[in-house]
Amino acid sequence: MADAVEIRGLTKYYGKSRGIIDVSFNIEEGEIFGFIGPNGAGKSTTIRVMLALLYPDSGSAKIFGLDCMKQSREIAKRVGYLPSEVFYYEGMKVRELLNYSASFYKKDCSKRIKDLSDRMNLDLNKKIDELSFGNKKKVGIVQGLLHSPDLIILDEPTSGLDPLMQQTFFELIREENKRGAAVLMSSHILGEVQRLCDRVAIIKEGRIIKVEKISTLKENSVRRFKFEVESSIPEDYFAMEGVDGLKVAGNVHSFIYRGDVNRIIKKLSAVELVNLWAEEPDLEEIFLHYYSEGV
Amino acid sequence: MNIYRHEIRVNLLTSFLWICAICGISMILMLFYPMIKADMDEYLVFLDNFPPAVKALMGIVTENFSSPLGYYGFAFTYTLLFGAIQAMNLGVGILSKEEREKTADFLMTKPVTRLEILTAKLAASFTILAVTNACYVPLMYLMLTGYADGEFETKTFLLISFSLFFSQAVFFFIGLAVSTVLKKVRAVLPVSLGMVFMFFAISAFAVTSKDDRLRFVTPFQYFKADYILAEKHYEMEYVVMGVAVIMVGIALSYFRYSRKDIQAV
Repeated sequence: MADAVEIRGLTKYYGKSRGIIDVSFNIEEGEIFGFIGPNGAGKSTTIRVMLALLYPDSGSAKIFGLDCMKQSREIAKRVGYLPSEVFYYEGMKVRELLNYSASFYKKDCSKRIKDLSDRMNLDLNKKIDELSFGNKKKVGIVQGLLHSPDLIILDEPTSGLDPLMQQTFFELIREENKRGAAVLMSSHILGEVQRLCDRVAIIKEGRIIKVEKISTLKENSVRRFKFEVESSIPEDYFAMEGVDGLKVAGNVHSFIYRGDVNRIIKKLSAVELVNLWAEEPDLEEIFLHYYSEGV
Repeated sequence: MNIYRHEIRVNLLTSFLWICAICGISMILMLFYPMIKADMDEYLVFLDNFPPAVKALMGIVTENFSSPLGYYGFAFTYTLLFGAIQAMNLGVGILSKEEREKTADFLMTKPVTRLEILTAKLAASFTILAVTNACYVPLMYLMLTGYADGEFETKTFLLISFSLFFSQAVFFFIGLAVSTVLKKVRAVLPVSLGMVFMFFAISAFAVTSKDDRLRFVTPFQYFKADYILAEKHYEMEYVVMGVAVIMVGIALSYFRYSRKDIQAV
């Protein structure tokens, strides 16, 4: 299948300060792709280059096979974008803003506007400046989806939405995805990426350090071991390859282990155990693991 | 067309106020004329006592005061000053407000090119300037007709009056170009007022120093009412200069705007 997004060696500096360096990844059509990293890692920069808001220093970005710089107009017809913070023309009513937004796409969006606003519980007759942050975000969501885009780009989409609205929002995104839309969602919250995405790119200090399937990331035989011992064991007892983040709280020890399970079981069997837990770590821990490695 | 309509809509109130201000100021100045005409000799003596620099700054050429059209040329100095501020405000603000109010993300991720955005905004701005002039010129024509019983040279009147629009175009494109060159325009008024008054000061200096080279630097000097009154035509070299400034302004704005990085908020 053709790729919805193809990014190759994208680099962008703001003067001398780093934006992104040599960023490459692909998003397949119909895929939900997560983009994760701490604030300032370069998530928004990448997205803004894709939307032709920023001009890259080098590298290329293509959406649906079209060049993001040269063919931004064609691309924009098929892309819906929800910025992390939404700002609209003050003094306009929600309905007017949405109609203005719809007027850029040469199709009738009135039914979509009504459906989406009903779903998001959004009052179309309010003025934009009277809306709370969360409600502005809702306007942003409707505005980003009203033309049934084939690629939906979400930059930190859930900030400002209450949990119930987040739920509705995720449902909406899943429906759009079922309809055939590819989704790129940036976030620094792993939980929401884990909930929604098929694959994830991890970005740190402007560089992609890993692109991985969510399932692989979770499997990859990384386990959290937690056990209680009868009497204390030497501090360096678990100083072996694959063990990371050893924590000791009284007699309870825990660490993340990556590698051949038999090796660690053999090691553990030599210790007098009171209790043992082997758990699947959440993405947060795996993520921290990637970061602490200083890749 | 949708961007054009949107721009007209959001600029409606401000433009209405500007039209009122420009027409109002010009009208009030013109209303003084019958009074001045009645005591012309005393006024002339009074004005002749002004230092030349002040006279230059105020656009007073006493020989012209005896005719309504001559007085109109004097009043025009102030109309032009206001017109320049209106045009400069528009020029500095029309693009930069999208970034300042952070609506650029919205607009620029729509299926329009930046060139289309800029063109629509130019069209809206020039509609506003054209409407301003379409209110101002007939109003002045009516007033002058009243004062002079229809006995004034329409051609000279029109030459002076149309120079408002030309000058506004020059100021507009200077403002526009500056707004695209600056990384960020935090507020329109300080930038636009600052530039207008700088040009106005240079203009006064050009008159007092009689240095014609300085006249090329300030759009206030491209169309001089007293010259038009005497010669009944524009000064070609300054018209060319005005056109050149507009061309450079357009080119620079399109070039800069099409490549400008829109920073995250």
